Amino acid sequence: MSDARMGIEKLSTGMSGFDTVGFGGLPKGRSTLIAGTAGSAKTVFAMQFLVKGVELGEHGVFVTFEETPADLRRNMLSLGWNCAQLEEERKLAFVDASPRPEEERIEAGPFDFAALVARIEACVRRINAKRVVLDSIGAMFAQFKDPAAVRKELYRISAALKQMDVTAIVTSERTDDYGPISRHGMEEFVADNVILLRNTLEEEKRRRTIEILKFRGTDHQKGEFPFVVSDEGVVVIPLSSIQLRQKSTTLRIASGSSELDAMCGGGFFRDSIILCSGATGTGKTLMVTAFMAGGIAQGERCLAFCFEESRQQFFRNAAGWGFDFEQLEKDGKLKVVTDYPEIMPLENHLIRMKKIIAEFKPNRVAIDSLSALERNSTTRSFREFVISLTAFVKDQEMAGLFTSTTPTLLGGTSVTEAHISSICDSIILLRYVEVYGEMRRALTVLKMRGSAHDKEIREFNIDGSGMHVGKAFRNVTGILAGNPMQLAIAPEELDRLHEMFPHD
Amino acid sequence: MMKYQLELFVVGHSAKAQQAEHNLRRLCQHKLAGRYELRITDVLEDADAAEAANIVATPALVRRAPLPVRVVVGDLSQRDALVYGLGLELDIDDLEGSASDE
Repeated sequence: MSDARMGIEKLSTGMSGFDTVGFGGLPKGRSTLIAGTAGSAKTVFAMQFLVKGVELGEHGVFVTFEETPADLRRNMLSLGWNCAQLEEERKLAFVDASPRPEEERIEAGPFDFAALVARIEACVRRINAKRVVLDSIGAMFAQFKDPAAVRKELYRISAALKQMDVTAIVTSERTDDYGPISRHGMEEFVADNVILLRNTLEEEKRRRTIEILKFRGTDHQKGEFPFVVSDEGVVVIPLSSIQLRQKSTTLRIASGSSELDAMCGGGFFRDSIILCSGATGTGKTLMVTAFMAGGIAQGERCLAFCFEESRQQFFRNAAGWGFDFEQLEKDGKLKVVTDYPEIMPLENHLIRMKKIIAEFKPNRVAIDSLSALERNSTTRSFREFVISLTAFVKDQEMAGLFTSTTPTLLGGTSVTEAHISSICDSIILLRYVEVYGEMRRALTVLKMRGSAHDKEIREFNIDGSGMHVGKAFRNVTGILAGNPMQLAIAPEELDRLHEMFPHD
Repeated sequence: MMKYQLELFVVGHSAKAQQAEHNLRRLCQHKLAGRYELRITDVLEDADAAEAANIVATPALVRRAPLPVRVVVGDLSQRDALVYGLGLELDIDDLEGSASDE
């Protein structure tokens, strides 16, 4: 993708999400400084830049100042990157400038890095490389006494890289995630482009972010974007790039309950997100079960993520309502994924869920429940998760049913809903109603984007055959406020009130 | 007698390269006459040799023997550093004059 107006071409890195944040990738033919604290994934990012380059037919040279090539080869194998093989195929090459502890080095007069430049040049020529990585230049300051000389010589390398017509990544250490850009004032070295990788501790949780500080002469997205280091390397989650460009359909799908379909004006829309909110035991999981079964009955593929129950519990409950989910899963019509939310950070859940969705290609996705995932995250990362996931699901033109558990038995909303309610197309509330010393369930369709719907608060029953929506609670008020009160109004008066404003 | 095996890495014919070679030859003739082998390698012509020896900064003098391997970086104008780097530190007190064996 080129930025013709600015005249600076971008090089697609091939790294998931990063190209979106960088409006097409890295500035081509230039050097970019990647600064980060220890453990901020600089080396992984740099190596991935080369490995993805090879996939795109561009060879790469990795100049290592810190780790030995042998260590790098071993470390990168865990990410599935076989450096040795790429080296054999002459697609990747190392220039080893790492210190050799067994050799003593003595300085006896002025020196320059012409040898290193010559080695890099020779290597770039030999394998016809288009990408170069220098990792990490801070190590050079430990190897030589005079920082001013090192800085001057690094500048020579930077100038030489420009001559070689390669796109380069130069990594550098920082001491603080929100301090000076780099330890040795290296931003002057490659002043054109600076990217910051952060690895901060927030509410006792690790959070990795990437920020493009500047791309000289060309544009990029501003601010910090979360990323994860998964088994395929760095995956950037480009939140604000998510556009409201989903197509909209008038096609309806069955919710799994004919009564609920009727309340929704004929079913959910096919590519809509439905939020089902309720206290524990109000029937959210049953709603998910019915939603899955309803889809399968129409020949759709369904995928459920359960973060509250085990597979066995989910299957047993479904069996209780007459659905053989175990068999349906064997038939490949259904996929149930159960996990504890705590097994990995939320960002990793997101990447994994997207991957499973992309592989299984379901027509319907359910998450039971979003609030369980919320336990395991900060407010900010949860909001990002919800936005990113809903956009992804809508983009695939699937229907999504997400549940949310309210903290109080009567009434109430959860933080989950505050983040998601404007994103979802429909909201169904499940509430307990205390009527004459008895807990009964109520259901109402609070919102149904693009469709007329039933506005009554109706009684909701669960029995051996599933869910049943019944009559409206005509003589109870304050259900949603969590303060139900019986009205002592004569039934005739209620009927008269009811008829005063005809239904739409 | 053990011979000193020395390799001087330079890049092209820069002033630094010539200076380093001059300084090195002068000291060797003075202190190691008949006891050393010196090879001069131009990295522009033999990048692989520089790669194998892990040469970053030049001029760079590699003392391959006696062991351990030592690398002296720079134009070798700092005579004491060069003497130390070559492992001749025991002779440091008679830098000016008479040749003596270690």
